[in-house]
Amino acid sequence: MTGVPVKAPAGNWTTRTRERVAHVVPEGQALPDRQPVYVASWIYVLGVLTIAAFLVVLVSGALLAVGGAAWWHVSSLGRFVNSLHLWSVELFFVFMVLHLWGQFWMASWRGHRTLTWVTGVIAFVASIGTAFTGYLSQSNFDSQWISTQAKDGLNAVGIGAWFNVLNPGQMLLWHVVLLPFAVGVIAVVHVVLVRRHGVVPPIDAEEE
Amino acid sequence: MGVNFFPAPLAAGTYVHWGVISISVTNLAIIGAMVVMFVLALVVPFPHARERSIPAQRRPDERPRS
Repeated sequence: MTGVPVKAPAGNWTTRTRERVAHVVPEGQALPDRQPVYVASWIYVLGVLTIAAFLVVLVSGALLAVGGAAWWHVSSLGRFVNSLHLWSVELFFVFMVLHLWGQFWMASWRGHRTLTWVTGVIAFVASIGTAFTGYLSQSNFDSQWISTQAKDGLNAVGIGAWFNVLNPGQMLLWHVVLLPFAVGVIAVVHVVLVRRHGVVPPIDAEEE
Repeated sequence: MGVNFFPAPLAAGTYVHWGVISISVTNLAIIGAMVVMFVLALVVPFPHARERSIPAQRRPDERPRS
């Protein structure tokens, strides 16, 4: 062993992946410790507040999955975690909508940031779907009522056979597996794109 | 000690009607609070704003805007 690094062959998929990652988010851009002066505003904090609320949603949801429906309906701790899940979702949507307003009025799709904007839109829509399937997974009279109201609309657009809101097992699995996974992946892509292209400057703050 | 599984039905709440728009006072208050939070986020100064900032500049990979 000479200690001389061996150059990976050009066809190595590991090399290609590493180079691709380095190209998407160059070194120093992933977790920068300094930002342009215009970022020092509360309006730029709303995105990370949304992520923070999302993490609380995920942790409280995982605890609900451990305890089960009887636990979250009957025990004091279960009700507390149930409420924590609900209110973290409320904050998640409040922060996300405020983030949306801020980015809309800032025209955040400027400067080749179209895909950043689009992934944010997709994350918003996926989050709404996750919230709706959550209402269907409460296993109480509310979820029963909401599902019977929702089925007509979904049947009217022709997807009721594949996405059956009267099937609590299917709705629970969409709520705890498929949709959170989708929201999480899209959120990661969204954040990577923000890091790649930088935060958008205010309209009156021309980049020098 | 027991849990009341059949509580009395909750009241539907108070609604505000304005033409075709019908919205509960609760939802209207939440939207109002969000607007207030948005304005505060724009006008409230950010603490220690200049200490960890770099001047605004174009990134090397970014084209000039037209």
